[in-house]
Amino acid sequence: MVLELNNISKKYGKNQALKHVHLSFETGKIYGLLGPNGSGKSTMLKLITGLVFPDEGTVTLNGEQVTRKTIEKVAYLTELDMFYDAFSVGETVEYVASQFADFNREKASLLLTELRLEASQKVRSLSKGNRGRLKLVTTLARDAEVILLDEPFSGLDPMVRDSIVKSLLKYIDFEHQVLIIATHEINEIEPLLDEAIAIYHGTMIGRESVESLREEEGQSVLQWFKQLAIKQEEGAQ
Amino acid sequence: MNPKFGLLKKDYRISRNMFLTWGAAVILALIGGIALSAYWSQPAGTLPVIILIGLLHFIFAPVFMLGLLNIEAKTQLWLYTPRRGIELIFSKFAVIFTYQLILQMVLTIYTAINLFWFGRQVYDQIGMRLFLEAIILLNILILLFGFYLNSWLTFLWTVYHSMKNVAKLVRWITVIGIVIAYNMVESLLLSATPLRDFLFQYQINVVSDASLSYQDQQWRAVLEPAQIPVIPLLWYLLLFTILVTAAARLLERKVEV
Repeated sequence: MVLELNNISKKYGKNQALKHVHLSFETGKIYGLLGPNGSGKSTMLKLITGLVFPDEGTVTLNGEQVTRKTIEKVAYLTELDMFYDAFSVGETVEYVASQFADFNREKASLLLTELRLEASQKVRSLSKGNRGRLKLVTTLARDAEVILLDEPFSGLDPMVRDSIVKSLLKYIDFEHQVLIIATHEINEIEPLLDEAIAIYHGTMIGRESVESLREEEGQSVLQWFKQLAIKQEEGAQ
Repeated sequence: MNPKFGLLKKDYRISRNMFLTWGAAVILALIGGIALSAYWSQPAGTLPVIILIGLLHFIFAPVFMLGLLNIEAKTQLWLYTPRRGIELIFSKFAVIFTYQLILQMVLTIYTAINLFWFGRQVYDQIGMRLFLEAIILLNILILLFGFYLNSWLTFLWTVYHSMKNVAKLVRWITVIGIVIAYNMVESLLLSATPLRDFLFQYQINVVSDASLSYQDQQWRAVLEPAQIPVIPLLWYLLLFTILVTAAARLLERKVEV
């Protein structure tokens, strides 16, 4: 599987969300799209899912241009509230299962148990944290080639965040899947990442293997990101 | 679960409360009509209620569709599905169709009760066969007209939402501009006599004109036939297809999350 963003630009009104971004991703790795709020991370994930369209450039998955149909191959966890209040947890899982041929009910059942969600619970009565857990269930239960998580920690209790996220990795099949996580909580995600990609004001300002950052440069991902951001700001002045 | 059935089930669930509210209001109005007519000893008093509720159902489909689309527009994540735009639209249409059918059945039964029982002394008696012919045709016309308006609403909604990056004022001007432009073109075409003659050459008679007349201190319900042209119905069917297809394409290619 090869996922590529070629010279992507995207504007929302006068606001330039992404500027000439070139990126590629391949199976078997965990990528972190890192940057502050409003840096263009979510737009990038929506472009990969086919939920927004580029003003310039192309997004391709296995050489084919991404369209709405690409959703069949991409599992996407959005930062938005993606569920219908009228549904129960079980009905939500059933609905997502009905829409995606790659939905794995067995995985969903295991995830529900692991994340302590009851099928009978009403979505409207779920706490923010439990809504976040339900998003993880409906996304990770899909055997899709690409898994995109947009701020997956949002709403999760900081006390259990680490353990939940780490335990979820066992649901990823790294032989066939790629995981891309967009977040501004860099410290939380660092232990999971193979590669870090720094996004700042809609531009990709750096890309580095997390292992080489740690072992060759003795830096944490956060330190690396801060250095890049400072350089960027100085360059802009 | 079949994906289309999954979509339908979702649309029924998210619209259930809206339907129950509308249904309860209609039933209250119908009961109120009979209660007040009985209280004033004027059984023909139910006719305005029948006409009003009947007219309301011309706009039921677009109003309901707008409600459903606005629920989805909060996040637009209903587009996070591999289903085609046309399937997403028709799922909502199917749900609204069943709701409208139920409401029209209720109104039909109410009309029959008034015509043949509660108001039989003041309603023109047209016979069961004529009543059935007229009521079936009227119900079909209300459904067709409602869904014709619904296709316009859906198309204009997708036009508005496909211009997410444009100022709201421009979006509204575009939407209103499309409606005005279409009506101007239609009026222009209809001003040509040969075309108008062609459009109105085939007509069907339907008992659809109802009015009240006051005689001997008693209101009476007078029912008369009206003529409905056939060819414009075919044109509106074609326009419905064009508008829904265009809306589906916009949904797939232009409306963003």
